[in-house]
Amino acid sequence: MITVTACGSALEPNEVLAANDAVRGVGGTTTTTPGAVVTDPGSPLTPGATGGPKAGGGKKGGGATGAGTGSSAGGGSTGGGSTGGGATTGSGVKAASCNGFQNGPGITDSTIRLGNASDISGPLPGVFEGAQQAVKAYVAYFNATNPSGICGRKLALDMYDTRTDNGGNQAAAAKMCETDFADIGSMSIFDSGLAATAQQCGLPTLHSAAVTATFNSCSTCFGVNASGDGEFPNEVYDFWVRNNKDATQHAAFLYLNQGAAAENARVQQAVGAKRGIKWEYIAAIDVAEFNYGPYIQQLKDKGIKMVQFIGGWAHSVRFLQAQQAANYKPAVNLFDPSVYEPGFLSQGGAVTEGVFMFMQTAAIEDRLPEMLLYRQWLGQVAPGATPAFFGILAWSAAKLFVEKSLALGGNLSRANLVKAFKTADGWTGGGLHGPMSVGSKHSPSCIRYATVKDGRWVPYGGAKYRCGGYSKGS
Amino acid sequence: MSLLRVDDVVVQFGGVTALNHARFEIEAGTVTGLIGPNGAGKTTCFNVITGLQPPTSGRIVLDGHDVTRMPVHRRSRKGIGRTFQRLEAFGSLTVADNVRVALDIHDGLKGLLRLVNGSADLEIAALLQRVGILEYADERADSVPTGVARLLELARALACDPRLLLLDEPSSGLDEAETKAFGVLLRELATEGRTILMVEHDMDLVMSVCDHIYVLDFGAVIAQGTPAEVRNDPLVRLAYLGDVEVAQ
Amino acid sequence: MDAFISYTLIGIFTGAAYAIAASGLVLTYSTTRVFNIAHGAVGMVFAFVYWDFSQRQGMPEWLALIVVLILVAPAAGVFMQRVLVRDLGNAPVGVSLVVTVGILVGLIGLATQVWKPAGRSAPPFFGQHLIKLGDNVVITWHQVITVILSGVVAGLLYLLLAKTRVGTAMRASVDNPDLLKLYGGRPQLVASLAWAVGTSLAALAGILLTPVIGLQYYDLTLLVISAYSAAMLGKLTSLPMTYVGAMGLGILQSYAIGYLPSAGDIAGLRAVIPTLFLFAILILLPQAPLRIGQVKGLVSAPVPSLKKAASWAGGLLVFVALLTKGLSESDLLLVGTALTYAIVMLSLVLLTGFGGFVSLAQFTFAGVGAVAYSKLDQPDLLGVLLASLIAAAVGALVAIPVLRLTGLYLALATLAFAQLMDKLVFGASFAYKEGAPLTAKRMSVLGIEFNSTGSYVFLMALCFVVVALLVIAVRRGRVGRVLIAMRDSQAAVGTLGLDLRWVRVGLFAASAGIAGVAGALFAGLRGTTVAMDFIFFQSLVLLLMAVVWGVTSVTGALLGGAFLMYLPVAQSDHPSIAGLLFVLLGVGAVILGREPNGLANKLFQSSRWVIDKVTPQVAKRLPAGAHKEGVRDVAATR
Repeated sequence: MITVTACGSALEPNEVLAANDAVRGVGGTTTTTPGAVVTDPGSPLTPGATGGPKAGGGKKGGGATGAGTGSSAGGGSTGGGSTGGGATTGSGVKAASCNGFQNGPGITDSTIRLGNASDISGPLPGVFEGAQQAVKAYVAYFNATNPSGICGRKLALDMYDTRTDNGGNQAAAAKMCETDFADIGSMSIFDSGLAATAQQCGLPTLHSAAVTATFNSCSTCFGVNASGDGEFPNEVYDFWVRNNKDATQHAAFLYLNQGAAAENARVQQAVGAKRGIKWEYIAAIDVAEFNYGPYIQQLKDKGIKMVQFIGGWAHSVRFLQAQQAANYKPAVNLFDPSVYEPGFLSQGGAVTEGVFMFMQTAAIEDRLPEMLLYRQWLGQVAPGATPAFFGILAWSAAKLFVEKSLALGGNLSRANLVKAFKTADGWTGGGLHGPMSVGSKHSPSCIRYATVKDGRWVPYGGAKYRCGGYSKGS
Repeated sequence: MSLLRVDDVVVQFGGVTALNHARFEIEAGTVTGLIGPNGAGKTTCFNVITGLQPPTSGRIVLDGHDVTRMPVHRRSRKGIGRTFQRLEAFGSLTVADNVRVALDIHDGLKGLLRLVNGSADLEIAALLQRVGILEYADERADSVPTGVARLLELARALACDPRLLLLDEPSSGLDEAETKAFGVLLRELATEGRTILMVEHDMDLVMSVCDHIYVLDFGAVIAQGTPAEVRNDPLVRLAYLGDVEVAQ
Repeated sequence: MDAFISYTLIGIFTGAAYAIAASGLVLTYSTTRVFNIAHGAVGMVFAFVYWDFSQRQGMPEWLALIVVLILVAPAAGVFMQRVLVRDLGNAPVGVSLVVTVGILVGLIGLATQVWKPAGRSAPPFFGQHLIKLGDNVVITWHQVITVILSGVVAGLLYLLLAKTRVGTAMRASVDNPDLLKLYGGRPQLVASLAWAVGTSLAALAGILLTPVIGLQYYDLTLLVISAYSAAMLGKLTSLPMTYVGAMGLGILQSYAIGYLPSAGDIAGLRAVIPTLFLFAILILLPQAPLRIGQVKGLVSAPVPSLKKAASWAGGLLVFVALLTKGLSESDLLLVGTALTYAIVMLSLVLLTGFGGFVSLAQFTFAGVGAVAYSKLDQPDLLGVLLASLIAAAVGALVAIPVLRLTGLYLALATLAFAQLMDKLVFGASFAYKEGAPLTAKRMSVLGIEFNSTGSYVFLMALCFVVVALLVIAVRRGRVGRVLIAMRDSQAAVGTLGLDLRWVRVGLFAASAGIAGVAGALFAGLRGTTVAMDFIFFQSLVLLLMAVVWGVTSVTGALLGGAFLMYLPVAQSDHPSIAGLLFVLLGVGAVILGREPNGLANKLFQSSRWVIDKVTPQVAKRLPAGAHKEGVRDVAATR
C-alpha cells in the first residue's frame, strides 16, 4: 500500500481491481485510517461477485464440478478466459514465449520440481497436511489438464515434513535448494527455520501463510496470506464496533501462550485498541493450564461481553466448555480460522453454537468454481481428506506459481520468479480469498465473518468480503 | 573422658523403633564389641554415629563435642571411619584404586589436584599388605570374595587415618585362620592408639579381642561389661535365645 | 465475594484431582522407594482406556469405570511392580529415575500408537448439569464428584494404612524394608499391592481430569508435576501432608489467575506456580540422609588410553571430513544436529555416567548456551566459551538449592527448573521474546571463518572430539576415580570425608557447561533457534537415548547423539509406527537402565570377544599378572 502496484490488475477480474482500489483508498498512509474511509461494509468484493460464488456462477460451477474439464480449457496456457472457468487457472494469463528457456535447479527437460515443506509430524500430527495435499491436488490438476505444461514441462512435487520444528524447516529448505525449483504452498509454525537457507540459495518461497517475522524479512519468501510487519485487518474489529458497540467496550482477549501466539496476540490487541475496542481483560493461558474456570470467572466478574480467543481448535473447545460449565455466555465469542476444522464442531457440539469466526478466505462450502476445483482434485489425490483453511491458501499459492511461471515463459528462473512474486498484489486465488498483498507482504485487508448455526458454519453478515485496510499493531 | 558418647538416642522408622534411648560410652584406645540379635539396632546405631541416619532424638558426643548435627564428611574429618555390613566397596574400581580414592579424598582438594601419583602407590601397597589382600590389588572390587571386600573396606577406612573405627561384621566371609589373623590386626590397631567399635556375630572373636562389650536388644542397651561378665549375664542369654516376652 | 467463592471452589476441585494423583504417587514411593515419574503417563493411558471402553465400545460409564479401576489398572500396576521396576528400590536413584522416565516415554508412545491423534471427547460425569449456589457461583456435578471421590480415597487409604495389617507393613517399609522382613512382613506382596492401588489412583485422576483437559497425551502426563509438588510437601511419604499440599496448590493456582496480573512480565508466573511451589519445598526440606545399600560396580565400559582415544578421534575427524565432501547440505545439517546431541550426551556421561546423578534438564542448559551465544553476538571461541560459562553458572544455580538433598530431589529440581525455563525464562524479553526465533552467526576460530555448512560441521566434530578427550582425561584422572567411587557408594565416600555437596555443584556446573557449548554450536549451525528446540520433553528423550546407548562411554554418546537425531526423522518417514519407536526407546531404557554401560559396551564386549577369538595367543600372553607382581615388589621393598 505504500506503492501502488498495477500488475495485479492485468490478471484479475474487474471486481478485484475494484477491491484493490478500495483498499488503496483506505491505505494511502500506512497504519490506521479513520473508520470513515472504510469501504461500505456491504460493498461486494471479489470472489463472490466474480460471477463465481453466489449467483449463477455457483450453480454452473456445480455443473462444472466436472470443473476439471471445464476449467482445463481455462487452465491451459492459452488464456481461455471462458465462462465459469474464468475463475480458474490462467484466465487472462498470457503465456509468454518459451524461447530461451533454461533448465536450472529443479528443472529438467521434462519436469519442474516443486517442494512443499509443511508440519506433518510433531505434537499435533497432520496439522498442516491440508496445505501439502492441496498443492499435490493442484499439481495433479495442472498436469492432467495442461498437456503442454509450463514450456513443455510437467510439474512434480516433493513433499517434506518439517516436523513442527525449526531444524526440520532448515533441513527441508536445504533439500529444496538442491532439488527443487521453488517452495510452494508450504505451511509451518516454525517458518523462521528456513528463511536464511532459502534466501541464501534464492529459492522462490511462496507459503500458504507467513508466520514469523524472520520469514517476513527474508527477501525470497512470500505468503499468500502475508503477516506484514505486525499488521492485522481492521475489519475484524471495525465490524463489531459497527454492529455491537456495547460489547466492544467490554472486551477480553485470551490466548494460548505457545510459539508465536504471544506476538500475534500483542499485534491483534493493539490493532483492536486502535479500532476502538476496549480490552478490559487480557490473559495468556499456559499450554499446560487445564482449568479454564478461573479465567471464565474473571470474564464474568468484569462483565465482559466480547471475548476473543486464539489457540488451536481443541483448546478453543475447552475454552467454550469452561464457559458453559460456568454458565457464562458473552455476546461475542470471537475466533480466528484455526477453528475452521471439522473437529471443532464435532467435538464442541452444542457449545460452539453461535460463536463467530473471521476468515480471509471463502468458505469451503461456497460453490465457487475454484473451490469446487480444489475439492474435486483433493478428492482425487487424497480420497477422504477434508478441505482445510490452509489447503485453500496452498491451492492459491500453487495457482499463483503457475500463472507467474507461464507469464515468464522462457525467462523462468528462480530470480525472475521471485521478482514476479514481488509484484503479485491484489491476488485473489481465482476467487478463493480476498485480494492479498503477496508481493508487498502486507496483511490482508478483506475478511468476512461466519457463525455456527445448527452445528454448521454459515456466513454472518453476508458472504461478501469487507475490506477495511489494516493497521500496524506494533 | 570417653572418646565417644551415645546419649539417649532414639530412631524411629514409621511405626517401628530401631533405637530406643540407646546410651553407651567408649574409651579411647580400646576395642569395644556391640552385640545383639538381628534387628537389635546395631547397624542403625553405626549410621547414627557416622551421620548417615539422623536420630529422632538424642545426641552423639565425640571427644566432648556434640556432633549430632554434623554432616557425614565432617565427622569423617574428625576421625570417624567405618566399614559396612552390606558392602559399600567401589565395585567399578580395582581394589588398589578403592584405597587410592580414599587417600585422594583424605588429602582433600590438594589430593584431587595432585598430578603425580608419587608415593601413593607405596602407601596403598602397604595398606593392602597390612590387611592381607595385596594379591587382589588389580582386581575389580565387585569380583573379589566377600571376606576380601570387607578387609578392603577396612584398608580404605585406615587410609583416612581414623581415631575411631566402626567395623560392621568385619569377620563374616573370613575363614578360621583369616579370622584369627584379623583378631591380631585389631589388637595391633588398638595399640597404635585407635579406638575400635565392632559389631560382630562371631562370639569367639568378640570374646577374645574386645575390652568391653555392649549388648543391644530392641534398640536399647540391655547389658554391658567385660567379655566374662557379659557371657554370664542372664538377660543376654534370653535375648540370644530370642525369648522376647521374658526379655521385656 | 462471589468471585472469591468461585475461585476457591474451582481451586478445591483442582486440588482434589491433584490429591488423588499425588496420593497414588506417595503410596508407591513410600512402599518401594521408586519414584514413579511416569505416574501421570499412567493416568493418561488409563484415561484413554476408559474412553475406549465407554465411548468407542459403548460400555456403560459406571461399568467402564469399575473395569478400569478395579481390574485393568491394578493388574497393570502389579505388572509394572513385578516386571518393570522390580527391586529398583535398592538400586541407585538414577536407575529408577531412568527406568520410570522410560516408562513415561514408552506410555506416550503406546498411547499415540494405539489411539492415533484425533479429536476425542470424554463427557463429564452427569453431563453439563450445573449447580447454582447463589447468583453468581456455579459448579458442575463433575466437580462435586471429584471432590467427593478425593475424600473417599483419603478415607479408604486411611483405613488401609491405619487399620489393616498390610497397611502397617506398608508404613513400616517406608524407611526400612529389611526391618519389615525381620518382622515377618512380605515386602514383595506389600509392594505389589501398593502399585496396584497407586496405579488405580493414577487412573482415577486421569479419568476425572479428562473432561477438563481433554484426551491429550502430553497435558495429562505433565500435569503430574503438580502432583509431585503436592507430594513433596509430605516428603513423599506423608499422605495427610500430601492432601494439604494438593489442596493448597489447587487453591493457590486458582487465586493466582484471579488476582495476579494477567498480562505483563510476571504473567508467566501463573503457569509455574506448581514448579515454584516444588522449588520452595525442596529448599525447605531438611537435610536428607545419604543412601546406604548394596550397589555393585556399575561402570564397566573400558577406558581407553589417551593415545588410543586420540587415534579414534582422528578416525572420526577423517570420517566427518569425508562426509562433508560427500553429503548434501541437508544431510550435513543432520550430521551437525547429531554432533550437537552427541556433545549434550557427553555432558550426561560426566554427570550420570561417572557421577551417578540424573538430570532432566540437559537440553535446557543447551538452550541457555544457545540464548547466551545468540545474545552475546560474539561468533568466535570467546563467545562459545562465555556461553558455556553462563550455562555452567546456571547449572550450579540449580544444584545449590538442593545442596542438602539426595539424587532424587536433585533430579526433581532439574525437572522443575526445566519447566521454569520453558515457561518463564525462554519466553522472556531477553530470550525468545514472544516465541520469536533468535539468530546467531557461525563462529570463527582465530580469524578462520567456517561459513559453509560442511566446514562448520567439521568444526563441530572437532569440538566433539576435544570435549570427548577432556571427558576421557577426567575419567582417567583422580577426579574421575572419585566420581566413579561416588557413583558406586555415596555413603562410603561420605564416610571417607568427601563433601558430596560441592562435588555435586561442580559436577552440575561442568555438565551444564558442556551442554552450553553444544547449544552455542547448535545456534550457529541453525542460524536461528527457537525455544521449542530446547523443550523439557527433549531432555527426557535425550536421557533415555543416552542410557540405551551407554552413558558411561564416549562411544555411547556418539551413537546416542546420532540416534537422537534420527528418531524424529524416522518418525516422520514412518508415521504409522511413530508411537512404536517411542515404545521401543522406553522399553530399551527399562531393560538397559540397570546397566548404564548400554549398547556401546555390548559393542566393546563383542569386539573384545572377536579379538580374543582371533588372537588367542596374544590374549594369553597379555601380562595380566605383571603389574600385580610389580606392586608386590614395591610392597616388599617397604
